[in-house]
Amino acid sequence: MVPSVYRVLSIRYLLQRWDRALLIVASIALGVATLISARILNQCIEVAAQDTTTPGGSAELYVTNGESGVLRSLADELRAAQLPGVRSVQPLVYDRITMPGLDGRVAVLIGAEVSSQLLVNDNALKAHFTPLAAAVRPQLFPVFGAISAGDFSKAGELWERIPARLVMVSRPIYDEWVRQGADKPFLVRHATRDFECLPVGVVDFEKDSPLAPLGKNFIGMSVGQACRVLRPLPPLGVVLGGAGEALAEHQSPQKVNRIDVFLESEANRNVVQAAAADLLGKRANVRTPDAHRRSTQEIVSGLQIGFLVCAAGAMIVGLFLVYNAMAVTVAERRPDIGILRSVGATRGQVIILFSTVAAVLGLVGAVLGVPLGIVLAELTLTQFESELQSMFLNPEVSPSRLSWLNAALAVLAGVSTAVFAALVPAVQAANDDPAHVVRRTTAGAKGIWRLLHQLACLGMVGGGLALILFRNELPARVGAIGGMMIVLVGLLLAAPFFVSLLVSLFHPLVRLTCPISVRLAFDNLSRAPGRTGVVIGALGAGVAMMFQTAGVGRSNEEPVVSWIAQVVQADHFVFSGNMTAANSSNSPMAEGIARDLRALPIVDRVMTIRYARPEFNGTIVYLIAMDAIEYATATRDRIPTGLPDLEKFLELPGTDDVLVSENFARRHNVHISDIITLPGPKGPVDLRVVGTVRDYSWSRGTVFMDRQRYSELFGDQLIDMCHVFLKRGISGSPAADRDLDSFVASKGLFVTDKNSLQKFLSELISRVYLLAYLQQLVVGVVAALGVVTALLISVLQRKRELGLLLAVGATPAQVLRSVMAEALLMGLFGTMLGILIGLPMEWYVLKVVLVEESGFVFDVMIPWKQTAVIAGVSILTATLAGLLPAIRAIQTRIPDALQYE
Amino acid sequence: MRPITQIDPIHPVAPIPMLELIDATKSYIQGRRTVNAVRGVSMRVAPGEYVTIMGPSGSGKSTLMHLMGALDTPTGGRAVFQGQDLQTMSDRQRSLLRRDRIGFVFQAFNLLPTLTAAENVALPLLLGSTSRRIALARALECLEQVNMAHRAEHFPDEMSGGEMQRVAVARALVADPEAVLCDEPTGNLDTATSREILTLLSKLPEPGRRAVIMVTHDPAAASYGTRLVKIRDGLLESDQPVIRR
Repeated sequence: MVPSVYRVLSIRYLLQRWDRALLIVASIALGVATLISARILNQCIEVAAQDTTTPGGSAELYVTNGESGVLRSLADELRAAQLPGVRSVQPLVYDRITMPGLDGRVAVLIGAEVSSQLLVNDNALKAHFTPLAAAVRPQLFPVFGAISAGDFSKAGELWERIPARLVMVSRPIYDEWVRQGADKPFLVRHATRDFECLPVGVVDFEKDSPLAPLGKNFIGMSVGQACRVLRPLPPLGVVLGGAGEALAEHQSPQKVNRIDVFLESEANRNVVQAAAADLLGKRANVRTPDAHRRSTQEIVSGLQIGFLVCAAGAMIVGLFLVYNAMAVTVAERRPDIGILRSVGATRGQVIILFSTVAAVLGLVGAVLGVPLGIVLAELTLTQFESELQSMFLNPEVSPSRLSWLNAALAVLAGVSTAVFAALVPAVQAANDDPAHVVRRTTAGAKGIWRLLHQLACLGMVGGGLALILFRNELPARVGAIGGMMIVLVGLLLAAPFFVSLLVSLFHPLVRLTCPISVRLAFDNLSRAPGRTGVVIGALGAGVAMMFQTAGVGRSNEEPVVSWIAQVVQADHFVFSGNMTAANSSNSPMAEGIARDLRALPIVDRVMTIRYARPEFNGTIVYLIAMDAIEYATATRDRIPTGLPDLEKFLELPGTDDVLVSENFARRHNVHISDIITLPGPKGPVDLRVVGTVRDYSWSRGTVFMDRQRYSELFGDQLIDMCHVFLKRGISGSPAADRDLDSFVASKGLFVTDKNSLQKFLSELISRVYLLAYLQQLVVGVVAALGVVTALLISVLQRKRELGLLLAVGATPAQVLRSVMAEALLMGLFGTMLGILIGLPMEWYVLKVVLVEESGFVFDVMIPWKQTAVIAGVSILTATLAGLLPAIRAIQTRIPDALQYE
Repeated sequence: MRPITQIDPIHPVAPIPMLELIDATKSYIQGRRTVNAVRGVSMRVAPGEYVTIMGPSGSGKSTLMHLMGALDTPTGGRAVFQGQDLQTMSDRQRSLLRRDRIGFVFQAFNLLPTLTAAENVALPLLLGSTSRRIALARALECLEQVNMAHRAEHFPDEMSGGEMQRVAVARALVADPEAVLCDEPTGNLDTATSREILTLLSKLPEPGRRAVIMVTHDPAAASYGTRLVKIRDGLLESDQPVIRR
């Protein structure tokens, strides 16, 4: 057949059956959209996470101690050592700041040495500096002189000596400052302290600049000045002024977030890395960008896999849907196939005919799915805008641009899915004996297909189980999650067998109790388990995933809520930024705030907390530094019966002892008396584990230590949150609230009470689950489309039967009910199957995946309420999906139906 | 349109018509062309008659039977059953008419494969408000009438063509209808079985109560009737009593 014949045979048919073509297009479009949105969200989260841990990362090597930072003096040592192959060494310090003069706008302050990094046009950061004429001060001339002479080291030294805090700002910040009135001081706020700065230039970043993601919110400062802004000195420095600062800096040398090492083009990175590591010893790690990225990647990969699993789920369900739709087409076009075969069309030509149709529809669906996916990703990001803005360093978390390659790959995935799904019915159609097809009788020889089907199911279930069993020998998550997904697809493929089983189980009951229209609908399920089974399987997959999510949520809910109720004992909580940021280290406060709070007459006790995220055992763990005695004492006052682990906190102050969360101990195989080593700014810090506590703060485990000792070991004086315990009888009084409100307002801080914080945390958890449900809803919608196509086939196959029913006196309403009953039964069976698969899935996720991923152990609880809702929605959706085919059934002329073969 | 009372009797043996077509036409669209299957046919069928409709393929005989059985409605003229104009009835009313007062026997048997013989026979009653127990008891009576009671619990794929057609006849009788319409009932059967079925059908007409109308292209089958109507190109060619030799 020449292409024009394919065109004639396919396009006219598609135009006649536009509704079915639309279903195929819609299912592929939804699948591709989920894939695209997952890709965008994954990229966006990865970029945001990388920007948080390694902003402006473009060096060949990093000297780092993770979040603990490294001493700035190491940069001088590296320079002095003149290691062969090293081109330049750049210490970097960075953190979030707010700008009170610009309506509290959040920006990222990056302190770098004023060298070739920024001031020459052809710089590694691809940034362009435009001096501000108004800001030119006499003290800047020597700096410009040094730059024009090419002496960047001298330029840096001169810059450091300039007394004002000179900053370079990104253009959007500069424009806003000008709009608000450039005569006003340019204020930068960090840890509740304000610093007046002088903008001396505007920075524009090229699109491929490593700092481009920060392009809207960038403030550049010299590293020394930035250290003073972002790393507050101990109280001595503050009290004694300039002399005290010098003394304090001597005691607590400046530390930076990392030191970037740029190499000569011909340098051997491994050799330089080894030399630098030798020089620095245990004081810091020297890492390649890949190794540096890996620990961040490990954290976000769980979330990314979640998105990908949902996308894969949607594509798989889409695949079954296209299979179904193509099966209808093949069934409907059997006479055409007979004619084609009888006039000499080969089997290959018949296969190509149907595959081409699928490819064209797949292409249309995939192309439509790309913009749909972008919209879906943007909607998801909007839903979690405030949380994402607070979680990452850069407040600008926007959808990543989808590359042409990724878009093309998604389109290819859509087309391949459509073609692959069409192949089975196409090959079956081509294998029909021409005589059977012309006679319009059934071929009968389906044994080989049944065998293949059984082998495929067994292979997938067996293969998936093998992956799960040998998961420890396989790359992370390949066995545990990949295996689970393969088992799920295998079970989905086996749905026709389950349907046959369920039908035979319920048949006697239905025969005796149901009206004839329901009975016939029920019988029809067993007559075509291949067709109905696939859709029931797809529905089941959607329900199983939702059930599992609901089950995991329900199992978490009770222990997490009771844990929150235990740890949130204070009357009020004072923090900077918003509530999400308050639970991270993104918006710290000076520790003086706690002192000021304690001085308030209404306050009994104040417990301060500082959060940190050091690296441990190849991942990032959570470190909660807290006033241990304050916590234990205040909590004991509130809960006279005490808490199981409360007394352990009293042993922490003044020691290098720590408590670890139960999941930390389980995940990292740590026991009491073990020594754990965390990276500190001066090198590894050894801490002794003296107990475990129940805690659900972080999936990689949490370490608790006394904050006083933490600030000594890690050189960090800041705090993130104050738990305020009011004096007895004062809590809840309007006067107390008024005093606290006026205090926090004077400091530009925020306060919330116990109930609001508990509510906020519960809502945050619910919203995370909502995201999962939204993704799974797409799977459910695709499955509902499957019900429509399956019933269209059913109506086609039952045309004669339905015609007969009408002929012998069934009313149109009875026929409508019969078709709707079939849809309802499909929904019912799909839901039952979904719950049957979802329950072991929930067990597996809770008892295997979650334990191995996070060390959290939860009892398996059945989400009865959510199950009822999921089942109701699933059955209702399936039943409503039957409406269109049912209406079509009653519109058929009886004589036509009776003559249909 | 003339009122029914003013129509002259078309056939002298049918003074009280059970079924009546008055200048009935039926056209339908097939692809891009209009097919005029029936072009102005008028005829009456009285209770007790056994009318055979004959004609070559495509002559419109099946369409004529569909019009009389309320399976279809005429595009022109009228189709009347026991004085009720079928065109003025709703879809539901026509369904109830077919369920309670008309029985059908088709060439391809049209038994539902998932129902037993008894259930297939009881189908019209089960579609109504009759309880399952009563419907099946009545079905068994009808199966006995066609000598198929011993196959009551068998499924269609366990029966021969003749047996399936007997079950179909029993189903046509289960509601004790006033008209039994048969469309090529022996078309898929061998000669001996055809004869059995035709004999069975010839016993169904009851004077003053039930008429049988059979469409066939087989002259031997036509000889079982009491009246032979010939159709050609959608027009009534002849209408005369069958003279038995």
